[in-house]
Amino acid sequence: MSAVSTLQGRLAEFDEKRLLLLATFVPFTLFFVLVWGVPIGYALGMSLFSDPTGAAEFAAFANYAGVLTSELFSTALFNSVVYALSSTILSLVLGLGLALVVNREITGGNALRTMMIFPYLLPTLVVIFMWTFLLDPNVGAVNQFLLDYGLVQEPLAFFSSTQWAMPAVVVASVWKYGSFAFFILLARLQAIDPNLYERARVEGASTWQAFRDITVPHLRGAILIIILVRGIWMFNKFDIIYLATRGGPLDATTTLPIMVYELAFRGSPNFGGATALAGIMFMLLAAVAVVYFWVFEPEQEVAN
Amino acid sequence: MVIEDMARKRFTRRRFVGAAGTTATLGITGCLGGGGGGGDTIRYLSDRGDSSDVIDEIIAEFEGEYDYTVDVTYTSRGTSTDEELQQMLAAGNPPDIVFDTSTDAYRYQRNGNLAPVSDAVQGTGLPDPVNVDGESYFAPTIVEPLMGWYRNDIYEEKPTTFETWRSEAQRVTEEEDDIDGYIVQSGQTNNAATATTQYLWQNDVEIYGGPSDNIEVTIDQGDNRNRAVETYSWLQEMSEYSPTGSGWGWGDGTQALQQENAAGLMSVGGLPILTIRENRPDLVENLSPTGFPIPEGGQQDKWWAYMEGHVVRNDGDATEGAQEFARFFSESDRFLDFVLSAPLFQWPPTEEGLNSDAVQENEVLAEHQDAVDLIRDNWDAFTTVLETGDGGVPNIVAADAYGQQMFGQSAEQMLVGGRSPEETVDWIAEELRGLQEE
Repeated sequence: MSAVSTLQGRLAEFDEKRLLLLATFVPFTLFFVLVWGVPIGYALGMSLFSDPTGAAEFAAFANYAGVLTSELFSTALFNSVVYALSSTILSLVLGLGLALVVNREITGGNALRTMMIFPYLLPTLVVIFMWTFLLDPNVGAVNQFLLDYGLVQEPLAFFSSTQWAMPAVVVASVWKYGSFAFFILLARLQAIDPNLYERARVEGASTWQAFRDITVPHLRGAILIIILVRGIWMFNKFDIIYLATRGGPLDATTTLPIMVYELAFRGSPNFGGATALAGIMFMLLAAVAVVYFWVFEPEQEVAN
Repeated sequence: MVIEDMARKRFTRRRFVGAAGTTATLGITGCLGGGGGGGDTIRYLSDRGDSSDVIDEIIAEFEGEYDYTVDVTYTSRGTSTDEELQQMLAAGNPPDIVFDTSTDAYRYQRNGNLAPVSDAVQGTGLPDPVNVDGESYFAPTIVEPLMGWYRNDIYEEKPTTFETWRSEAQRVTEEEDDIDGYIVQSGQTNNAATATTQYLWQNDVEIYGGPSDNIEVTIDQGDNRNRAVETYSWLQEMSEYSPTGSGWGWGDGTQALQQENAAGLMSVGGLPILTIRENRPDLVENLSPTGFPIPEGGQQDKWWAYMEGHVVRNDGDATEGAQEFARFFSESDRFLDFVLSAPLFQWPPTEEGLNSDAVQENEVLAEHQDAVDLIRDNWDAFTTVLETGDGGVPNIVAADAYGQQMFGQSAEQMLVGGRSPEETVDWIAEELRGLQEE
């Protein structure tokens, strides 16, 4: 075959297959660059300047150093980790428990399944209004219950005390987002072959052994994905915390996203510091994601 | 033929890549080059969306007389002017004129962001709180004094002194079911910051001293320290007769009063009564206005009044038009209509305006003559937090402290964080000095 015909063949192949690939790839790449790449690059660029929206001066990594050495950073990082871990794990436990219940043929199972979607559909503002009302120290039903049964002597100011604010925000978050884990795990549970349980029962396995050796291995991939995705979402969560406590009292619920907002828009605005902190958050999450994929290999679980 | 095909195919690829590249370039150009506006469009940022009818009429008159159009952005509910402004600046679309406080105006001027509005202020009889080197940078349109409201059907007497407020709040809390005697706000909110500052002023605490270019923090020195500790101690005691007001803004306090969870609060002007008139008209006659507590035998000599008005930025496209608009707004026949679009909450910036026919004849004000009298009787005591240098000169430390709601945070440090009043005074003094070093 001559070189010309070889080239012709390759070009024909290019036209038929790769052009199609290119036609689909280029718009997506452009979309990615415009919608994600440009804003991220713009923000990271801003983080290298002092007063980037005014009299901008190149400051190299001074904004990063300023943020990392500020008193609030370690508090906000700690709060972010506590909030993300506790709300993710509790959502997972709650979702798993309810999914196991609903997966059995019980009375009201369908109703429960339908009800589980409602917290997820409710606007965050409504959820916070409801929880601040429930937990209100003056008129809240929770405090009324605690007082009536003698569990506390004085009403608890859940969203206004340093020891209770974070747990209160976590509870509200788990209530709203718990159904995410529920639906994923329920779908995975329903995909498990019932014959596996039947065979295990015939061979004398207990309920616990069946759960440990059949259910858990089948759910492992879904659980790992929930931990990663939900964990990242909760680490970046802003609205539910800000609406509930605005990061207070005394920074007890100030997470990194709240700190970004405070730097950018409150008091003496510091956009350079805010974008630097956003960059730090991005790098932290990227590092966590890399370690996660390296250690747990969730893609293998999904493939299996 | 093969060469021709190759050329055609290469041409096709080139055209494809070229078209994609052109599209991308146009897209990027479109994204980056958006916004802006000609020099004949004035971009106006205001948080007075509730008064938009009057503002729109003033704008229509202005556009009829001048070759400018005014593009108004009203801040969305829950978003402060500061936040909206920062978002506009970050997007590269700064407004030309902003409705803001005199305190913020001074901060912007310090940062070199303002153009003067002297024509709208000097020689007009309006106050001139942000005058730097003979140029005025703030055109006042309204004042909003702080004001207290209490339940006249629950309080046995009108509380005036620190002690009568304390004893009545205690009695109400102990004797009445499900209602606290008072509201103590704390945290990083304007409500908590202004109230805490005013309590200190009431007890004659000189928080600052010195001229504008050499402000000194004096809250923790000599008798000031003793009086500040005394004030924080009183606040600590009052918090026992209050719902937990951590993080409470203006609306939270009003809501507690409206829901009958509390019998007294300090707020801004008639904001609570305006809300309660809408939602609980049955409560209106049970609420009376009052000033902040004063020491036994003392008198009211310094009363926090917000002053809000127009500032013109120097980085917009229509600076001159914005300066014209600021002047036109202040001179407009509809000026008092704007002020009275929120009666009891907004007041005219001059005593002449307070005594005008429009104010005298306003129906809402007539129904709350006691509030009008309170304003009239204390007019000379009204001051902004900005005017707290020696002799009332502008005080940039106070402006920055207000911007970060430091005094609300100080109350939070004590009431939630467990600091003693003495430690709280040390904390706020250190924070204020920290602001000076920034």
